[in-house]
Amino acid sequence: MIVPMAVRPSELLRDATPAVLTAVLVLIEMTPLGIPGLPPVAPSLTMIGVFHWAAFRPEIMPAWLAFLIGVLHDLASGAPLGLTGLVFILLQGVCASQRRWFLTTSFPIAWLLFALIAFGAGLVGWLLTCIYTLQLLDLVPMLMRAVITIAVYPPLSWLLGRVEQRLWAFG
Amino acid sequence: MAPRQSRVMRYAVPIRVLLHRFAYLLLVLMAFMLLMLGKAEVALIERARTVAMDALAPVLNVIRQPVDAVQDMVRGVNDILYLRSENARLRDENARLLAWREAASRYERENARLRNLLHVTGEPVTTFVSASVVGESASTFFRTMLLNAGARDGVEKGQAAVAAEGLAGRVMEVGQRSARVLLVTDLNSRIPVMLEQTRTRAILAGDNTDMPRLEYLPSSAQLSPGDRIITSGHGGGVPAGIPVGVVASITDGIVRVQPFVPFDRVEVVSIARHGFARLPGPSGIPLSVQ
Repeated sequence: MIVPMAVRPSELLRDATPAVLTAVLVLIEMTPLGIPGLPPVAPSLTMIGVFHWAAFRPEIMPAWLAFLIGVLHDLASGAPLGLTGLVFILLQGVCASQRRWFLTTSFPIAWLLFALIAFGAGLVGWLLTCIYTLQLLDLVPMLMRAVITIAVYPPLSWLLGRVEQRLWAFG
Repeated sequence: MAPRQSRVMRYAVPIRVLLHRFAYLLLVLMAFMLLMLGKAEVALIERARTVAMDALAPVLNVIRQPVDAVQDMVRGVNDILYLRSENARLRDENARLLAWREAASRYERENARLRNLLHVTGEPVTTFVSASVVGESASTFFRTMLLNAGARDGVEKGQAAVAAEGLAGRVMEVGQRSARVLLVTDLNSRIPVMLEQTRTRAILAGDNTDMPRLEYLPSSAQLSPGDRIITSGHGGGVPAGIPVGVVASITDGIVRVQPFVPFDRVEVVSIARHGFARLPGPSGIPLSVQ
């Protein structure tokens, strides 16, 4: 693809795009869709975003950015401040440490890894919420949410992959 | 084309190598600290929340527009498909409501006459401000709604958020132009209610399921599935007489209530201001009469 110099985005802009996109996912996740029964188990689009960039482009999704996006999620959703932040830092840490897996892996394996991480993140979130509220909470909605998030992963990850290809095609 | 390393990254790499581990741990600690500060209800954290809420509400309002447009379209098609049956249903309902209006205006006159006889002092008037729901909680463990009305519209903490069907929740956070409502199904929600028939008081306690529990019911309380629950107005904030739900099940002494409000489809709520009075519906018919 031939791109004139004038419209070639700077690297800074390119590196910032995934962060902005993930922040937009937070807002989309918050938007009421009016689908009966969905809100408590709505897919965690933000988690897919953080995972995608942390796994495939770890250099542009550092831990502090994952943390900030988590804090934004907490601010937007009314959850205790720092809760999602902490979950996303841990998620980023796991992805970054397993980088060599993601670099060579095929899509089904990446999906499987995401499934494991989504369940893990759900469990950590559940545990933290239990400690925070000092109550034993029902695990079922968390599991449902994880399953729905895993189901939404392929199309969203494909979309993010396309964006990634476009962005790095310039660079 | 050879991959170019970003300038930012080139400077950041040596620093990162040194600080990476330490910074990671520091971030984890920071998250824990934020959680603890939030738990301790530090004013600064609450302030940060309301500022963020005010900033997010208008953005969410814009994002909602295309979703609304699609919903309107689906609704439009549905309306046309069910025009005949809907018309018949509305005729029936209209006939029923006319009878109710007669009854209501008769009671209203009688009530006014009796009040006059007893020299009852006037109850404070509840006024309402309408607000759109611009955001959902997007969390499994916290059930809230974000509204696009706030302090500048007269919304205050603790006020009741009422949907067309009944009580949705109470205002928990107020920004300048946005507010967050804690739904009655949330873990932290406690609403003073009573059984409409017997006036027996209880507390409606959310537990993150779709059906909150009735707590602190006197052991002598008589109730059965299908009984209506309304707000009692005790403790102030929430006006008395707002419909909440019906008793859904009584198992092992745990009474569960099915709320009237379909929380996943609420688009507009009214916030009851300065409310201790009974909630008036249009033309003075209490909303609890259905």
